[in-house]
Amino acid sequence: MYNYQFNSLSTIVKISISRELFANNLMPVYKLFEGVEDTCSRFKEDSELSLLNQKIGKETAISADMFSILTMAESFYKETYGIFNPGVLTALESSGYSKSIESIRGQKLEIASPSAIAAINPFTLNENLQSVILHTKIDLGGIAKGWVIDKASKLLDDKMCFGFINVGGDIRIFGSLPRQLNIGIENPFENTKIISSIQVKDGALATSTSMKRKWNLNGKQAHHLIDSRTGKPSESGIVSATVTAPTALEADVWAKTALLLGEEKGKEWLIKKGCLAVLINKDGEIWEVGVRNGNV
Amino acid sequence: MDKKQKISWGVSFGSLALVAGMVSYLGLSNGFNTNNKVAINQGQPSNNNSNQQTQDNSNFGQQPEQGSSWGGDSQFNQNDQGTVDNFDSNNQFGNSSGQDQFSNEGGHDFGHHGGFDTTTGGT
Repeated sequence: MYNYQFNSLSTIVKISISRELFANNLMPVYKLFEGVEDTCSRFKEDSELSLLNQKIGKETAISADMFSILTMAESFYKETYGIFNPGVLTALESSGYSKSIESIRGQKLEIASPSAIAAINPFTLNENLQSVILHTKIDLGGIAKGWVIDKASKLLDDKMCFGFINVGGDIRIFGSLPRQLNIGIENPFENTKIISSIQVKDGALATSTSMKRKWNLNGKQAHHLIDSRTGKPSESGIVSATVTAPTALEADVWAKTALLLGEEKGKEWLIKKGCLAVLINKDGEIWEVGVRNGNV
Repeated sequence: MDKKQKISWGVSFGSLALVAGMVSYLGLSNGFNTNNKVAINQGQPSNNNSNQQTQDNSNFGQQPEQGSSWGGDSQFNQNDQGTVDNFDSNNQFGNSSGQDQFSNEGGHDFGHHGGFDTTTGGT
């Protein structure tokens, strides 16, 4: 296997592939990731998202990529009954996550009155005009990564080979693997150790955790996973959810949804979806579905 | 006199041979010195994602090609020797080709992560 890597999306993009790639093969993949940062990063002042968030209530023409991502976001918003909600940016910033995670991770923040939001439909798309009207500020951090991984895997799949892409734990397999991929799941309480594993041969897998992007807000621990029902960092009993799905986009959203729904409803959601999953709760207990011996 | 001269010649020859031997020994010792270069894949926070490879650059013979870059701002580090040095700050891409070490099923090595092909843990 040939392994390639580069930095993007505040993490490392790792490509493991069965044949050697050269610059002309890799550059389109790199450009995809660079493009999604220019489109979806809320920390870039001139990104399309940052400019869009300054036009609340105004119909705005958007790029094809932004339209594609918002279309998927709208679909997941409906599928998850608003649990997956891109319209949490105000709540996210109010809880302290207004700068890149590198500058707030582990910090003690004081904010006078963190605001809460209600789960509302965050935007309205117009397919004919390829435009959108935002009803509130949006964050695409929960969807852009999965979207671009799927696009990249399609690019690589055209090369008549097999392999996988791993972007900060979101994994997408492409081509036909000769055997199952054995994936170690990090212990959310001690990420240098592996606490469980999962085996997949196709599709995608993602892990959502509240244990990595965290800080202290007004004396309480806060993290980046906002519960749109309360407008505050989720108090879910699940601290890590690893979920498989046909695409990285689905895996990413389903993992977040399962975590935000909490132990009981999260498990129900995953059983309903019929995917393989490993959930870890605050006490370090592991719950697996469809992983080794069928449904638990 | 002949006997003394023979002894003198013998001492001189012996000293010369000793010096030559020392020079030869020191030269060879230095020649066998190797330069062990360790390249570490700087990966995700988990140490399970670390990937270490070594490369021996012997002073004997021509040093193997370290890879090619396309100009000072090259974005790729194509390396025919199957090693990767991610400390090259100008390279956006690293490339490493591994051997088939986990060949029990299909003979394909996906990685070196403590027995796992790769790891996940969220960001």
